[in-house]
Amino acid sequence: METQWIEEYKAAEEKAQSSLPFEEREIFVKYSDRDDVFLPKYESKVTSIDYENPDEEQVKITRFSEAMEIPAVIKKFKDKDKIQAFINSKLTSGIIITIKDDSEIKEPIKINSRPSENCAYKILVHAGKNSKASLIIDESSEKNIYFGQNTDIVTEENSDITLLSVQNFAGVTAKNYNISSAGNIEIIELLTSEGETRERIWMELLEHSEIKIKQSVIGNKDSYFDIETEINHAAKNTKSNVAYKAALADSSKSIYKGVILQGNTAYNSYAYLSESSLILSKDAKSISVPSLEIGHNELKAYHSASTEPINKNAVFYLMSRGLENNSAKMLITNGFLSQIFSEDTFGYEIINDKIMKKLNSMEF
Amino acid sequence: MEKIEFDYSKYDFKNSTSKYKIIFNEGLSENVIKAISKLKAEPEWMRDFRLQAYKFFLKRPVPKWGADLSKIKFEDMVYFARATDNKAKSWDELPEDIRDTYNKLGIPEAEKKSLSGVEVMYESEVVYNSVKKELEALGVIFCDTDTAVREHPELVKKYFGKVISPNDNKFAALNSAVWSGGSFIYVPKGVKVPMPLQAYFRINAANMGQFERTLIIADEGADLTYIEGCTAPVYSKDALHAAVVEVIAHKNAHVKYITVQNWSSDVYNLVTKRAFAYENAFVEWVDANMGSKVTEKYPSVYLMERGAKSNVLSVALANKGQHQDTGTKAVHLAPDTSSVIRSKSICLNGGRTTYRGLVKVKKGATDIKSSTKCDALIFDNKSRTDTYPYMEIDEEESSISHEASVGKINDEQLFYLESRGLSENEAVNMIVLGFIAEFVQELPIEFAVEFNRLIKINMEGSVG
Amino acid sequence: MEEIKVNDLETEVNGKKVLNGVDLLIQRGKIHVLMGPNGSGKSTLANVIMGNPKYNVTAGRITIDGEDLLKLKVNERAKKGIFLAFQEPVEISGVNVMNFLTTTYTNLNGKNPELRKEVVQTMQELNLPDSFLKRSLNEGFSGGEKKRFELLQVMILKPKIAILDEIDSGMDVDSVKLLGEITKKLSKDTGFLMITHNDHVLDYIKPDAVSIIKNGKIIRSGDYQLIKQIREKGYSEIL
Repeated sequence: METQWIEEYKAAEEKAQSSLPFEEREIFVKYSDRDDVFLPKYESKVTSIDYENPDEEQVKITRFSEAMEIPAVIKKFKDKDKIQAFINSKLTSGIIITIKDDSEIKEPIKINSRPSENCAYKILVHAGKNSKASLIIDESSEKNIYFGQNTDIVTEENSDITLLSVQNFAGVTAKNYNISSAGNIEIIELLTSEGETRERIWMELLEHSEIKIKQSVIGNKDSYFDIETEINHAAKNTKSNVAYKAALADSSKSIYKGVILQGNTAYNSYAYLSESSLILSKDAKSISVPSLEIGHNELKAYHSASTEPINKNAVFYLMSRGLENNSAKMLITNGFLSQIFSEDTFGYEIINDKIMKKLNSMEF
Repeated sequence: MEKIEFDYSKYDFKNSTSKYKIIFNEGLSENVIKAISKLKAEPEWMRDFRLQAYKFFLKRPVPKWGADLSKIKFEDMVYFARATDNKAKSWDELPEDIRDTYNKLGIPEAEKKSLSGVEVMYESEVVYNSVKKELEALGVIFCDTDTAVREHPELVKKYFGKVISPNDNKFAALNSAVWSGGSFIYVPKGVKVPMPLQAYFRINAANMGQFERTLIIADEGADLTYIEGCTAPVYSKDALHAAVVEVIAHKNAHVKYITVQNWSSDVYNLVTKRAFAYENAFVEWVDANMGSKVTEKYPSVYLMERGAKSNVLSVALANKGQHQDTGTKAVHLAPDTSSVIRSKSICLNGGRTTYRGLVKVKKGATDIKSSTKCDALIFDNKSRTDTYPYMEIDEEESSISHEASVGKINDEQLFYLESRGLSENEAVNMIVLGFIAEFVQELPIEFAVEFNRLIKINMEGSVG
Repeated sequence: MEEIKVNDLETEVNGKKVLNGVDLLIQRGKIHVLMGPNGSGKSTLANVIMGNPKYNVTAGRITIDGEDLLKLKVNERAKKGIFLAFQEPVEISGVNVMNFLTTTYTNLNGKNPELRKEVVQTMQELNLPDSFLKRSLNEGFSGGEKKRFELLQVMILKPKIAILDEIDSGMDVDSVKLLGEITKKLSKDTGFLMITHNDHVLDYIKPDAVSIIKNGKIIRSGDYQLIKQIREKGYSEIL
């Protein structure tokens, strides 16, 4: 794919790494580790990204190798931490999705990736004014590889974008989102990797924008999830609703760090952040820090967090109705997750299918 | 105004601090520490403890995760002085805002002067002595910590520095090296102290030192309530207050520790407070923080054995130029332990509040219950409030919940109260006092009245 | 104060016009019933008279005894003797009922050493338990309790003119009867604007004036006869 701008960009990112921290926020440093895992020495190999474009009239999808100059979306953002720059410096491919102004894309744009070797790629999304579209990103690999992915999203006024991402890797996953939104955006994620996952979402909300995030992880064996979300209410009349749920079995571990920023320009904004963990085994571990940093009074901000064991009475009740112990726990876990993934959630069948597959493969 | 020397012998602190005639120059060194220890005629182990702590102090970095502490100049501090020497010499020497607050609180003239350190009130001596007799009859030891080192060396040696190691953090290390004053309390097995033990009286509370060290031991089944501080702003020329408070609650004991502090606005108030709660013990921290430039204070409870409980209730108010970085830790180390945390904060006129809390459940600590609720009121867009609740859960059988809200005063509430005839200011006061009512209920009545009045003073001019 | 006079009042809320030229007279010692369908502007009128800052008066006047009411602050209106029983009274935690009543009573009417006794008696009359005094204002009250507590404030604070905004909704049959009897008794001295959605309470009182509001305008007014007409012909025909 090597065009001139990519080479230059990668070289610049390689340099940028050294001056960037592994964890951007001082208050989270204590809970960000495994530097060696997420910053390994490796060669990334070219991997193919498959996509389906449902509407070639209104959606343009371009591969990096076809782009003559550096895409505008890339220039919109600065790297926040070392890993983001690390992945950018290793890019092997990338795609640019441009959704036209005033378009309504009925069918989802689909992106599939099944890498079998170490890889790093980038997805860029630009959604024009008054556009409406959905994306489904499905990424998985059974191989023990390093998977690095940076997604940069810019949405214009009055746009309406839904993004569903499902991820299941045996190896290491490092994923970062940079988002700048002036419209409505909803992110739905299901992470079921048995390996080590680190994800960052940096979200900047512009005037009259709204974000909903529904994130769920299911951990088993030695799954490790280090998930961090920062919602910056950068302007007035902004709204955010973030929900994170972790179901943790075996020796899995979830570290959730959320921060809502409402500075003194966040007039008339609203934020809700909730985190909850269901601990399914003695060796599972949950750490959460749902934080608020508020610098304005004309706003509302809430958060809640909880950690619960599986309800033994519920297990007993279900077993008294003839269910096996395992199926009873599966049902309860599924119920816990369905609190954020209901039947009218975008892509519910896909999510439900992945959840059931995962739960069926687990022993409680 | 006639200058009156503070005479500790009047307060039965015989031989404690009254004989120290030397004030050390600014700065700290091993020699200064040795000299402090020598002056206090301390046993060798305490001197070694101090010297060891000093080494930790030098090694430990100034913490960066919280409020801005970079402006503290350790080398410019006086590390040992008689209590009277850092007080104002006359009423007129006090900053105007403090004089003003004293007047608004309606503190009697004589008491005002004693609070400011200008004059000493002798009347309370009689009361103190009668209380002391009653306590002695129960076998309760209640004296200043310097006295305890001399008179009860075995008890002190057994517990001193055991809850908070001198290497815990930079400011605990500093305190361990240069501590002076503070309270020592020992309540024997099964004894329930019938009245709240106050840090002597309000006047003495105001004279508390810069690096005081408090150690409270409640033996099996003992019960006590301790109150420190006062609502009037404590004027101090010292820029740094670094206290250490250690509490040990043995099996079935109950300790309630109430603090109301209102420092003058140039003070760095960096306090380490921690309690160990053993089997079925119950520890309560009730903590109000106002004033100061920066306060960093996180009263903690380590739930060491089965059935231990903790309750932490705190209020922080940050006005102009103030940063209240407060919170709590509940560390669950044993099964069947529970913790409740309630935090209320108010920031206005550019003040800043931070809640920083940790709920930790160690492996093997099953059937844990913990609930946290933090509410913040923010008055304007110059002010700031942050909430950082850390939850580290290593065990399946635990129920942990956390809730937080941030918002301004509710317009509908204001309208309702104004429709009943209250002015905007009165309505704001009523809502704010309601917001912190849960806390004020825990205070003895005379504190509660003053505390509410103090909140009102802070609220003046908060509405346009 | 003897009367509140509303003249050609127009009001906006969030840029939407809600009142469209309303005329109304509330007099001390008289009961004025205001009826109308949902969203017709009944509550808006009540809130505007009390001075809720959410509502914007764009035209018209409200006077009390000839003096401009609109320039007065909310608490100044209360001090003139106006009272609004809210349709949905707001909850204020930590402020207990007795403390609230003492503060507001003292502020409006001066100290009264007998206040607690009067409050307890009134509570008995309204079937509110003693424990009520220690609860936080409106917090965790049932719908009926909230309404009865608003009524209790009318009885204790003794306003000159009280606006009851659907105080009867959410009340059981016995409470509605009690409301009627109390209103009737108080109306010797107090003026009432009773905003209601249904006419059960009218079995117990005889209003001096009745107005029907629709789309932000008074479309019919009259006396007790108007209610008779509504009962005979039905509500919809009148509208």
